[in-house]
Order: sequence, then C-alpha cells, then structure tokens
Amino acid sequence: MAGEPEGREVGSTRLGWNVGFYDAAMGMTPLRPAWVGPSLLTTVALATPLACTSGPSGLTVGAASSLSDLLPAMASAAGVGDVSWSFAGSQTLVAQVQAGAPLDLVITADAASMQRLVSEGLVGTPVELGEGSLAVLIAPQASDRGIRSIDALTRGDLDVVLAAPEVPLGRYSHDALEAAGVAVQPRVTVTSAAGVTIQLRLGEADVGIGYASDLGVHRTGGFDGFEIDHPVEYLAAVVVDGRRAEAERLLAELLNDAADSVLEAGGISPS
Amino acid sequence: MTHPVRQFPRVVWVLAALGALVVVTPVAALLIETPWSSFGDVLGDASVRGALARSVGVAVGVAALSAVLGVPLALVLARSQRPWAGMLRRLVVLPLVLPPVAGGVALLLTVGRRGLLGGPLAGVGIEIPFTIAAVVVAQLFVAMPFVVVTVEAADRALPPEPEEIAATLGAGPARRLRSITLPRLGGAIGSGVVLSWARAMGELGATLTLAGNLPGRTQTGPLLVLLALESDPNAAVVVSVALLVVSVVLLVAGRGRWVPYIGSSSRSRRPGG
Repeated sequence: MAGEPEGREVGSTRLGWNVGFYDAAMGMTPLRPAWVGPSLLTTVALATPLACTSGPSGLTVGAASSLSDLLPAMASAAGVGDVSWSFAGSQTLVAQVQAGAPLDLVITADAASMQRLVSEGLVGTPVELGEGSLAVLIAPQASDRGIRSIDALTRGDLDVVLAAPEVPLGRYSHDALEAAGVAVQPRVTVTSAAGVTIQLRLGEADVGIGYASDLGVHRTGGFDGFEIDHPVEYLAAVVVDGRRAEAERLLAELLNDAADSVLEAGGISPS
Repeated sequence: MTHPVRQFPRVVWVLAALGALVVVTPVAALLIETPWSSFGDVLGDASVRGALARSVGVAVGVAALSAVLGVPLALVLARSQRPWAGMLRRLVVLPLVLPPVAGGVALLLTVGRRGLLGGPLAGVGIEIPFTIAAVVVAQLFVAMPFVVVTVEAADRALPPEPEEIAATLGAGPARRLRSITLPRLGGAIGSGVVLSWARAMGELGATLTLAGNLPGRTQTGPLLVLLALESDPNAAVVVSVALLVVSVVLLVAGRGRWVPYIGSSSRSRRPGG
C-alpha cells in the first residue's frame, strides 16, 4: 500500500479557463455553455440566480475529509447549486471509485491516491485544485515548550503524533521528515488528519504534523504552529463512469475566482 | 441469607466489577466532557436531527429485516446436516470479523456499477450505492449475523423432544414452527434483534463505503460524528452523546414490550428479587 514513488509525478494540469484544452485532453465533445468563459464573465454570470439554477445538478462528489469545510463554501461562493458531497479519507475514495461507487467527481488530498485511479483508467486527467502546505501543529498545553522547527519533533521530552504512511497526510509527513533529515518516533499514530488534531486536543500528544489549514491563522479554534515547506496537492478528476460532461462543468466552476478566494482564506493556494 | 444463586466465589465479583468499569468509565468520561451548553445549538441543526432520525429509522428496519431473514437462516443452519450447511455456518459470521470498510468494498463490488449484480440491477433501473437502500444493505450485512449466531446457538441448545412429540400428535411443520419452535426461541430472537439493532446504530465503515456520506440522504449519526471530528470536535461529542441517549431511551422503552426477554430486571425462573 505504501510507497508508489512515482505517485508524486502525476501531471497536475491546471485547467484555468482553457476549457477547450481540457475537453480535448478528455477526448470529449467540447461543451461550452455561455457561462464557462473568461473568469470575469463567469463571475458576473454566476452572480445571477438564473445561472445558479442552470449549474450542474445532482452530481455526487467524493472528496477528502480535510476539505469538508472548504468545498461546500467554495461551491456556494461559485454559485454551484445542487451538489452532493460525500467526504471520506482519500484511501476510502479510491476504494469507492475502484468498486464502482456512483461518484461523478473525485477530489483527493494527494497525488498518490489519484495516481492509482488514473493508472486503472477510472478517472480522467487530474486537475490541481490548489496547493496547501504541511504544518507542525502544537497542542495548547505545549505552546510554551519552545517548538520552533521540525527538528523539535526528535526531542525526547515531546510526545509526537503522526499520521500513518497509508494515508495522504502520513505520506506527506514521512516525505517532509525525510527531506528534513529528521527521524521521529511518534508516540501516537493515527489514520486521518482529524486523528492528528484530536490527539493534540485531547493532550495525548504535544506536537504533530498536520495540514496548514488547521493552523489558527486559517481557522477559528486552530492550532499554534508553523508551516513546513512541503506542498500538499489537492487533485480533482472526473470519474469515467460518471456524468462526465456535467462533472467537468462543475470542476470548472470550482476553479473560478470566487471559489479560489474561499480556498485561499482556508490556507490553500489556488494554483 | 443471600439466595444460593447469588452466591459466587469472590473472584467473580471482582472480575464483574472490572467488566462493568470497562463499559461504564468511557461513557462517564464522554458525559463529563460533553459541552452540554452547546447541546441545543448542535441539535437545533436540521441536518443533525435528520442524521439521528435516519440512524434510528434504518437501524429499526435493519433489525426487523435481520429477524425476518436471519431466523430462518439460523434454523436451517442449526438443523441441516448437509455439508454446505457447515460451510455456510462459517461464512455467515464473516461480516463479524471483516473490517467494515472491507465489507463495504465487497458490497460495492456486488451492487456497484462495476459489480456482480450492478449491471443487471441498473438494467431494471435500480441503483443501490449512495442511496438510503445502500445504508440498509450495508448495515444488514454487518448486523444480521448477530441474529443468526444467537438464534442458531439457542436452537442447538434446545432439546428436540417437544417438536418430536408434536409431530407424533399430528402437527405439521408450520404448526410446529409457530407453536413450539419460535416461542421457545423468543428470548434468543429478542437478544439477536437488539444486538443487530445496536450494531446497525453504530455502523460506520461499511455504510461510508457503500452509501457515501451524503448529508440529508445517506448520512447517519456515526457518519456525522466522523465528519464533525474534522471540523467541530464539540459537535462530534454532542452528536455521540445524542446517539447514546437515543439508544438508551429506545432500549428502555422497548424493554418488556417489543423485546420481551431483554433488559427486564427480574426473570421468573430466578427465585427471589
């Protein structure tokens, strides 16, 4: 399960507004309603109620749990109407698409998960939704323990929580620690980003590696800590068995400026 | 004097107390940590109430279906002497040991659009995954074995004589089932149904995989808790406690009524009390 070194090489084509290119890449008939145009026009058009009702409706999107706050907010900022969000861990999303769950669009928190779907021909070319960052998150009770760099995770007097390497956050953490040349013995290993924040909140660990979107600067009730220079890729891809044309339209809308500003406020840079 | 049935070696009391602590302490910890002041806010949310109602409703339906399908299966497995019965007996408990997420994947591979039955089902316009039917199917898969195992064990423990005598007196299979077998298994059926209901109430992994986590459609209480852990831990605790309270209320209300043999404090064959 772990490994897949080539996973990080996934082509994260930025769709931008070049819908025609994306259609060509997907081998689909170009589908270009008036409202999928230059971003300015799109933003204006989407601000009208009429555009809201004409948006892709009834689509089901499977997305990484760590985006459970941001994606619905992005959709409403973009004026996208009737979308059902099903949030789960990226590895569960992969299993669901592999087993034929009725998803139209899938959004993972890493490239390795998406690569598995790409290599099996289950999804179209992934598009980068945004790029987040890892962060060292410090539990409230350890805020005065002088944790200032990733090297602090090796200190014997600190209990560390890390995600398991089977989940996206765990893979990122492993890579980041390796890049920093730091070997860490975690006291607690968890299987989701939420696992890290829970262990920190409950005082089971003093410090851990999580997503920068969980820092206090990006959300109320977030943690002390600092970003680590390690990118977190959020990738979206249209499910081949799903309603492809509509899913592509939805994806285009999630990449518009209004949605991007929500993403940015949440600590993820739109690419 | 204490009645002899309530006299145990001291070690039994000690172990019983430890056993009680295993269950009671975490519940107490949860209740102590509960932000009671935010109870109103969280439960005021229609999607939270909807998820709780969906959990209760589906679990009741699953428990009923578990009885309708599980009791006949248990009887066949308990009494059949064919070799396949032995095989099936082992297979039926698989959902109990299979990690629920893997169970969900297995179910998706059965009824999903790439699944064994998915194509034929889609042909007649039935799509199960990510619908409320998927919630029922996923929970039935993990919960029904509790009825089968409980009832089968009870049926094996019963002496066959009453049914043999009834047969010699001319009672047909239907009459024997109705008048003798099912009444004698009432307690076991009650236990099995309550266990399967409880399992369905708490089900998470198989439901998430087969039914998704769609607010307002397939999101159950436990799925809501899972999602809330991500964004609002307080809400997660509140919803967990609400699930707990709803479950306890239903168990107490059902005691002595729909599940006659479960949870009643006195038992007629026990003297005293």
